[in-house]
Amino acid sequence: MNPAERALQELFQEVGPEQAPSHLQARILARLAGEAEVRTAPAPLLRRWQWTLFGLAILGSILVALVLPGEASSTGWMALFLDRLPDMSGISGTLRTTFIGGTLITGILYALDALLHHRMGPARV
Amino acid sequence: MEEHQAITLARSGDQRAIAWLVGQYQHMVYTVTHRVLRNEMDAEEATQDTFVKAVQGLHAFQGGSRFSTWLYSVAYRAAISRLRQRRSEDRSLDEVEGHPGEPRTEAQASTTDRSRALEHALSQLAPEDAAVMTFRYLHEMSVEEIVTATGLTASNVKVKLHRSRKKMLEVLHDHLKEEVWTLWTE
Repeated sequence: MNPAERALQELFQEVGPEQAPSHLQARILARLAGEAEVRTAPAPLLRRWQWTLFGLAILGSILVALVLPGEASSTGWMALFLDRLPDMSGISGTLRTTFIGGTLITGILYALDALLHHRMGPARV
Repeated sequence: MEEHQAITLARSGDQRAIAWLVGQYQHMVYTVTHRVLRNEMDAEEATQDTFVKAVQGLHAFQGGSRFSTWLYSVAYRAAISRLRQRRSEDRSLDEVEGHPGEPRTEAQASTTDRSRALEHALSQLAPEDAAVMTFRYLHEMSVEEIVTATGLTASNVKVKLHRSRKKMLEVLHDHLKEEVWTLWTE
């Protein structure tokens, strides 16, 4: 390093870094806190127990739908239960498709909801 | 608190560690952004951008270089990005005030104060070159580290350093009237 270059380095060191405004650190930390808040994932719309209840209700409906056409083979408590249900044998095929489809969609939505919540997670700022 | 400890804690979101890192580096980062942007408001914004990006991307810092080098690379890119944005805005708007990046006139910088002389000499350089000189002589970074921080090639950095040094020494010679600056310019 020649004398002029050394003098240049000494001048930079002597003057040192510029002084950031005194409020800057607070602003940076506030902005970081703000970013953390924005990045915080909201809780799922439905709680786990609500999804479970929902799923069980649909599963129960499917079971009912599955046994609807077999009216003659129903025995015991099931027959008593089915006697109380309105006769839906005419639309049982549609109902079965609807219930199974509904269950599948519910399952997919639940998995998606859980996945998104897991991936976003709590803020890690 | 030590730096590596603060980095580890900051990765897991420890607010004290983040505050410590901001406290340690805010002036250096501000210096880089201010020397590129030459405007306090823009420099403040770019410094904030730097720390937000750095904290969010802290997992990307693997310790292959010094933390300061990595942080300055984030600062340099944030400042250059804002500079480009400002330049494109300047082209589309009629400016009411003088361009913030314009070099100062002789009258404005007629002081012999060494700090002002340095500031004036830096203002004669292109913003990117002022940052490169700051990296080299204030942060004492090697050419390889400047390459990492700026994304420029090594030969480009060397050319910028050579030209900027020559220019600055000429300006400093005019302002400070000291023999040491003459050694280079003669």
